[in-house]
Amino acid sequence: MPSPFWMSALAPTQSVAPDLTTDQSLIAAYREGDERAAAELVARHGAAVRRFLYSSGADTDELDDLVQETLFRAFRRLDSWRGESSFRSWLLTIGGNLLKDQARSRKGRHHVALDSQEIAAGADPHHDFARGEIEERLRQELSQLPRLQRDVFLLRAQHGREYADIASALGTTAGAARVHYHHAVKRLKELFR
Amino acid sequence: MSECTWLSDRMAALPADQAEWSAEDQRHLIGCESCRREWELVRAARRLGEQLPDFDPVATNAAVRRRLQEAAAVRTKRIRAWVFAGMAAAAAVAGVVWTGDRPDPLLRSEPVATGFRIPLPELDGLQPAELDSVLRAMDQAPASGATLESTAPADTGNGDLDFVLESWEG
Repeated sequence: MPSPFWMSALAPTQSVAPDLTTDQSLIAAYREGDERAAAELVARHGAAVRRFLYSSGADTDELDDLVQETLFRAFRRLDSWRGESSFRSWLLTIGGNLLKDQARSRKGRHHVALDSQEIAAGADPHHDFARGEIEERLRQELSQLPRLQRDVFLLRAQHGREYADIASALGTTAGAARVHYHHAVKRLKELFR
Repeated sequence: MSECTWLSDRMAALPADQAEWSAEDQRHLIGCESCRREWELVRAARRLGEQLPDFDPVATNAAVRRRLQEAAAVRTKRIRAWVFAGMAAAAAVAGVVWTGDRPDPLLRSEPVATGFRIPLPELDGLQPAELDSVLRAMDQAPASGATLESTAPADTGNGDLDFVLESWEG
């Protein structure tokens, strides 16, 4: 069935290729109906969202669903992203909120499958831990941190974001973000003693 | 800013697993256990999730698009329901306002009935000519000044009284 004339008038013009190099231009193109821009945004940030969720303690089996839910929420309220923080930081913050909601609905359940006995067995500070084991313990420890400390730490240490950007995404100040990072590092680096 | 703080800020800015430290920074790292542990921590944090299976952007994007379309359809249905409910409510309000203009019959100031009819089946059965005759006789009665009400029984003769009594008894 042919589209009505007004729909063809609203469709993005094919002759002018949009500049799809920045997140901002991709979002603008998506708002004008360009589905390729949405696909590019997913390809650009999806893996980072997944790593962030995994590092925050999400169950591995649920990762893909959580990434999907994060992106779904982000696209649904794309209008609330005003470019004050980077799109990546904003997305990761949505992922953090999602995990918080999930934790609230599953009160008392741990996200990470590693049990406390395994941690105690490997807690000798003078041993070199295998990389995988250290990372698993780090993930466990991260899941126990207060939400802001965990998000700030991961945004900063894992994703290399600036404090100002982190602060905008989390709705706090750069100074407060620095303090959260400091507290998180102080606690987490005990793992490397 | 202490050297530890300076290094801490630099750690997060450096690309993963790439130590671009100056000779002075390296000397500090070797001598400062706290900074060394923090650097180990940052490197471990960057490695987290590297071993995960490859991310499938095409499948994820398709799933997200599908959910967005479903959500949009639900939203459209909800808006239609609200519009319908709104119109129904508006119609109900309009109906109430319109019927409210009618005066309440119990509160009206004018009398409920301005007149009444007494059925006279005897008159209904009369022919027009007979009815005219009765009406004419009624008109003439006040003119002659001898009505039944105004005439006292004492002034009436015996013949008249007999006539009246006879007409009553049939």
